[in-house]
Amino acid sequence: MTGPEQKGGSDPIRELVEAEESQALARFRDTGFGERLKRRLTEPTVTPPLSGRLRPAWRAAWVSLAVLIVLGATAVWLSRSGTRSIDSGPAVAAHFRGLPGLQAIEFPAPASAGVSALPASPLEKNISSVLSVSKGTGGTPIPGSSRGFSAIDPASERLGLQRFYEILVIDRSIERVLSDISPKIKEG
Amino acid sequence: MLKKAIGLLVLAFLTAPILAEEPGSSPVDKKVGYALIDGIGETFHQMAMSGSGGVEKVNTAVEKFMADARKAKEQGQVDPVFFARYVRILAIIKIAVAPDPQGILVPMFDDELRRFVREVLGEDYKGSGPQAIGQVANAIADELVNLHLYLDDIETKEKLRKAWDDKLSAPAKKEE
Repeated sequence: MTGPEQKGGSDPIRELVEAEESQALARFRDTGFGERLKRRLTEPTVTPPLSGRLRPAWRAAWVSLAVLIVLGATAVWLSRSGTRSIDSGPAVAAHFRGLPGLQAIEFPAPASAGVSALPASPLEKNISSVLSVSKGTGGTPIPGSSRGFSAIDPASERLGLQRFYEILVIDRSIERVLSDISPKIKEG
Repeated sequence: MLKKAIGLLVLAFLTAPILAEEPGSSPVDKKVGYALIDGIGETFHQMAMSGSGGVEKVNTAVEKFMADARKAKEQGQVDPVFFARYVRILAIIKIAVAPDPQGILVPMFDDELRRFVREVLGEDYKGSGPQAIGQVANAIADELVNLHLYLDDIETKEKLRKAWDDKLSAPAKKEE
């Protein structure tokens, strides 16, 4: 079957391939492909084909997706951080209260008979006014202080169970107030 | 492709702390609880000492304490047990001073006061007059002291729970 007829160039497919090959080689040599390639490589700016880059529409989609994710993450972080407590405020306040200079302003010692009280400097006046506002229960609360509580100050000194019991049970503070204002008294 | 990978890495860094954080894991801040209880005590003490203030003053204080308690609960600084008992005290105070000249709400209010006095003092509620107010005031004072003691013992309770958790989760010893 593999006779000389088949090898002797009578195969049309082989002839076709050889013809194509010779045509391509001739074209490569004629049009100076090597020269053109060298010239192209030496050009200063070589723009890659469009398929190699991100298409503008895809790029916009990617950017907007990334921005959305970042915004979402920021929103979640902000919403969660708003509910979290910040413990440094009272600690800083306690530290400042412990400083001897500020203690003297906040809790002034009673003036003794022999020593005349010196007039306070403007700085002392400012600090004492700030401290008196933050300490008083009736004063307007400073924004952001005491974690936003309006009626309580967690950093303030505690009453203690003994004192608390004394106020409520021994002094009967609640009973005295309720007796004055409760309509239940009139019902009786 | 490299740019995409870098972008994804940056996003992962941004979102990782948020996803890793466990909400509500902050411990109960006992200072806030004590401050809430002390606030009621101090308010009534000042009013009793000065003799000033009326229903409006009590209501204003109660509303502020309620807002603070709610905020503290949202921030995880008081636990649900404390919050529920504290809010009940505020509600009882509000009921006790609520003006009701026509007596429309008396049955409802009396039911609530009767239940409160019964649960805290173990007494039958007198219903009206100075004795009734005395009972309600005693019950409020007692419940505030109970809440104080509850806060004092939170750690003890937590230690007990942890000890039992450890005991129960430990592998059982094989008997030889």
